[in-house]
Amino acid sequence: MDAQKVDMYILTNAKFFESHVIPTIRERLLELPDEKWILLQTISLKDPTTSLIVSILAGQLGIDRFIIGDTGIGIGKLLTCGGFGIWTIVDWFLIQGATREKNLQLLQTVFY
Amino acid sequence: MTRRKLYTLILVISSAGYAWLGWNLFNHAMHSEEHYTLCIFKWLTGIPCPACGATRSVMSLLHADFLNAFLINPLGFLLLAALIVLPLWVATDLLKKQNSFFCFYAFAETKLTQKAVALPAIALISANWIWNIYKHL
Repeated sequence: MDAQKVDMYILTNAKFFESHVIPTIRERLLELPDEKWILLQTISLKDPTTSLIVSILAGQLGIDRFIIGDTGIGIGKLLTCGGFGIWTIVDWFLIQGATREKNLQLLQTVFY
Repeated sequence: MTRRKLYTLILVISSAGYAWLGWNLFNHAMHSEEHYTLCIFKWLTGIPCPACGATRSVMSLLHADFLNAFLINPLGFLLLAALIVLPLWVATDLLKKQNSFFCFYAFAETKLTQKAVALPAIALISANWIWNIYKHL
């Protein structure tokens, strides 16, 4: 893919990924064939800020984990009163990183 | 979610569960009628969360009072089963250096995201929640 397109993609989507993986993503995207561009546009990335808001408001019920696709952990949180209330608080700090990690996994489905 | 993270999480949460249960048993043995809650949701809103009453339910189960356990919160059965099975499964996996639980977890996660499974599960949990609110747990 040409560098202009890739840089545009990186600029608009940088907030969805951990900053240390951005150079790697850029390199992988440059190697990607042009027909994957449409596929790349169609994957919907989750906003870390949204999941943080959801985590603060409804983290007790595990909704934040359900939203980013961690169904198993979501159920764990739901059935244990948010992991005895402690996990809810821990997740306020972890959820943004977890969302970015999930986004990277989504992006990796395009690469293969 | 890597295997190591998942296994650590399960071991930590289940030991927290055992500690909480042990503390409650101790309190019960001291004939203390005071009721403590760790639930932030209930503490903030005054409304019980879907899992509220699970401790009381498990305590009733430990005293072999199955009907009472069901009436307080049916989730207690599920939680007690999970509390017994999950740490054992994870521990045997770790000892034998297998990842059977990790495979099961991935399988269960894909199953649970299917509509045919997810919708009844959501309906059941919601019904239980409404029942919880109705009971003023």
